[in-house]
Amino acid sequence: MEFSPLLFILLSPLIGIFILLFIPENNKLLIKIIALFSAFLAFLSSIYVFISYDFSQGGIQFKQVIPWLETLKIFLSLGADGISLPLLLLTGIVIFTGVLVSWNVEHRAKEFFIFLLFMSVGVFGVFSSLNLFFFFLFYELAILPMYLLIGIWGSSLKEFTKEYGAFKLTLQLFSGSAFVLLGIFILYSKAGTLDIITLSQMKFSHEFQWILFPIFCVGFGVLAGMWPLHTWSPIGHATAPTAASMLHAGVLMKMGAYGLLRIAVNFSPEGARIWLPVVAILATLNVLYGAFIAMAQDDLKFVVGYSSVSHMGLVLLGISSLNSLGFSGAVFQMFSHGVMTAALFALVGIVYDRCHTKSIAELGGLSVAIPFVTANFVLAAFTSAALPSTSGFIAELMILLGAFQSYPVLCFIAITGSLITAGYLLRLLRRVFFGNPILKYKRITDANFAERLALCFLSFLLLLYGIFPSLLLNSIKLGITPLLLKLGGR
Amino acid sequence: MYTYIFSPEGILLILGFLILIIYIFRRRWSRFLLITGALALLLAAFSSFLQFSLPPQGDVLLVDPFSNFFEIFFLFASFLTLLLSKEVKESVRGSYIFLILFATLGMMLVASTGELLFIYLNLTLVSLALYALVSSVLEAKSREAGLKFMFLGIFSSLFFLYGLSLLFGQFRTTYLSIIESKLGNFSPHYLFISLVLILVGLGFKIGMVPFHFWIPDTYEGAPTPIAAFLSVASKAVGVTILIRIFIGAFFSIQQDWQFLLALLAIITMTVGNLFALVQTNIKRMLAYSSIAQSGYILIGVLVGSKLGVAGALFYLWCYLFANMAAFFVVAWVEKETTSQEITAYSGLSRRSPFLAVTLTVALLSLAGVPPFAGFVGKFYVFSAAAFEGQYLLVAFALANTVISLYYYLQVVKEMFIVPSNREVKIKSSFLFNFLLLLQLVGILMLGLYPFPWAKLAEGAIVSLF
Repeated sequence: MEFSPLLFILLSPLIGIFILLFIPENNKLLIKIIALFSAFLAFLSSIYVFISYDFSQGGIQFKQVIPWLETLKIFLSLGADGISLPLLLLTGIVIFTGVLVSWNVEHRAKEFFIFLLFMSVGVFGVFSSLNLFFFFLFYELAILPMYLLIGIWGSSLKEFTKEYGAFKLTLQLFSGSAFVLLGIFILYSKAGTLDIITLSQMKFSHEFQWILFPIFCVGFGVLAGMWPLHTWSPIGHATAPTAASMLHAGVLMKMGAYGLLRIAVNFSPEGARIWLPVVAILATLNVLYGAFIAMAQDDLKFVVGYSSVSHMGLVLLGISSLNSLGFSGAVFQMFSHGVMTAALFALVGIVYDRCHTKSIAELGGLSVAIPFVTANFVLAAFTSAALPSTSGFIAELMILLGAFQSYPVLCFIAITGSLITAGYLLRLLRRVFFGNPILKYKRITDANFAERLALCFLSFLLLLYGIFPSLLLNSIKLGITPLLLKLGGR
Repeated sequence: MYTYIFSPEGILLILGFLILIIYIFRRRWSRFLLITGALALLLAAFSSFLQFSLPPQGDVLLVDPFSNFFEIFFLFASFLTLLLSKEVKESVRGSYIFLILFATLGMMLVASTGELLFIYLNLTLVSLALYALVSSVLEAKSREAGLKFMFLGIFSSLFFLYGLSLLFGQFRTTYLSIIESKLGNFSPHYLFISLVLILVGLGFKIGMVPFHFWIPDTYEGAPTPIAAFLSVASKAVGVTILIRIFIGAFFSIQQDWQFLLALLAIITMTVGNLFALVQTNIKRMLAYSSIAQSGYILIGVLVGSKLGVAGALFYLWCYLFANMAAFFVVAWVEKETTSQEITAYSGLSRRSPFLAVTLTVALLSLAGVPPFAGFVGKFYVFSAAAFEGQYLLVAFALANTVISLYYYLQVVKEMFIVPSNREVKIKSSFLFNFLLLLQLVGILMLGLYPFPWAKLAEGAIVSLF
């Protein structure tokens, strides 16, 4: 039997977890090395998958089918196409850097890395499964560890305890996934198969698609942070430990958008035509609402959290514009936002670790003490504000151009949202990093080696894909072409 | 041949009486009696397992894959119960072992018959043994639990008997197979009354709302191993009869009873889950959760398709492992801390990682979170319902799984997040750990490699359709 490299991506964190189970808890260095090594292996294999994908051929590659429960037509079938490739790569990047920036986690380190790797297995699985059962299994697998990650290693805020954040996030996401599961059951009973490839070749009746789409849309919308279902996201991310919010905001929210493309739009294109204008309006609200609320926040993590909501709005807007530019922009934004949010959360985590506060009002002039962190923060903030030569620019440009073709008015409203983003980020940079240095923060240490490695890498990617977007766009284009064909090639 | 096929029941009957007689004359031999009891259960399970390939045979007593499937289920449940009792109780008397063996015998006979009077007779045997077991501890609470259980139990079994006699009045026979063949000649409205009466009796056993009131009080007062036994085996007895009567005999008039059962399933899940939300006593919480679980099992039965009934059978195994494992941990913590409150579990992940992890896995499996057994079970049952077009039912069930997650996670929060006020390690004995590990492996096996079990469940229901 041939082994798909996708199986290897899934197995490397799993093997890491398995080894970690047998390592005594107080041997923290060994635990971290093993966690880092298995994350690095997963990352390497995700690069390998990206490089060895045959771009001249396109379609779904690296297929692997393992029978599992044939009576219910469940197979563990894996495969990757142009949409899932960048997302697999993103997951590899974020889990690797996530382990790096968690190098100073000392409290119950063993469990921490087990849960973190567990989450990455779920995410990798979602982006590579071709069977709805396993898609959903991995989907929930990715959501679940977050509860304990927030509950044990998270930090309570003034307004919310971490238990509240953990419960809110978990229950809201599980309610969303209940909708997804309902959709899967309806689809399964109608089509009699769970295989994504077979399903995407089927054509369902108009009425059926009309009903199916909103169910999936609500389900995935919760995870994608669609307004007004987004409320878990800022609170959950603000209370979560650094690596968990990196992975969650960076990658997990993309699972929602990915599901929307891969399942909702793919299986009910006619339903998408009917319902996506509604999603477009909600997405525009996302962009504006997230940006406005972020402007009013004092807590750094809340600022990043709400900016995620705002940026996910752009992804949703790109998807709902239903054209080539919008789709490619959306997938590109998923990747770009994933890297950028991971960087921002890592940086906020470092600031919090050194200064023991995340409040903008209490911080000031940090650039003197931590120039390295400042430089990276500036770059990530510029990406977030979509300045040219960063990957954020390419993404937002494509999304807005795509949206302009379908919804000119909404496009203009969304552009104002981007302007506000620039506003609150500049305000944040000025208050926290520049301005008069506060005495007690003069002695704080800059990023350590592991953190520097992670941050340099993330910043490098932001610039790399900003200057050479075609590195990703080739792959994305291959992925979205079949979708666009189904939609009637607009 | 005829004597051979009833060897599992025979083993229990003979060894059960032997244990009772030895107990009367040699009270000190409790260890020997316990080993004999456990061996009897294992031996019976083994001989039942050997019969799996035999073709269905028998008259009043039937031997078919369905009965074998449940015989092994009951034997395994009571094996775990017996050994758990040994681990957490100060002394296990011979009478206690005898009662467990005879309750199991009754359950096995219920599972392997298609004759109404015999079902009733054996159901009474099960009930009598369980009444005594529930009140086997010299505590007021246990007595109260036993008394409540007994009065309500007798009351509901009268309804059941009344339903059966109405059936006899119409069909002039007590054989379900004959009833099934005559079914076309009778008006469904008249039949409906007897089916409802039967449902009252079974609803009590299964823990179906509104016949569930005894469950929380009884579980709370009963010795924890017996509460576990009640929640798993006694519930499964009800499900067995339900499947035999409603699917085996009255399948052709499914549209008449399906709506009622669907309504009851929805109410059962919802009431169970909502009441579980506010419990502070973990045994009461598990009691309400077991009520909710009955609702999910009922879905599989009422759908009535092969997939649905096989799903219900599969789900029962998932439920057995998860619920038993949960009660195992509860029993041990109760023994160590003498508390049944959920707050007693604070910091359990530090005090005993193994217990905490197992309880977490068990609870998440009950909630239906992948990759554990409960998820596959729920997927099985719910997809069967979706295939029959019962989308509303599926939607209700999914909403319920989300509600249930809240109270299961409360316990997880207590164990992993809330720091303990006492950092004393909890040590559990070797046998206990081994049995718990067995169940943990079961939960993971059913969740990660469900194929063999699914195959067994599908083989078991062939003779019904």
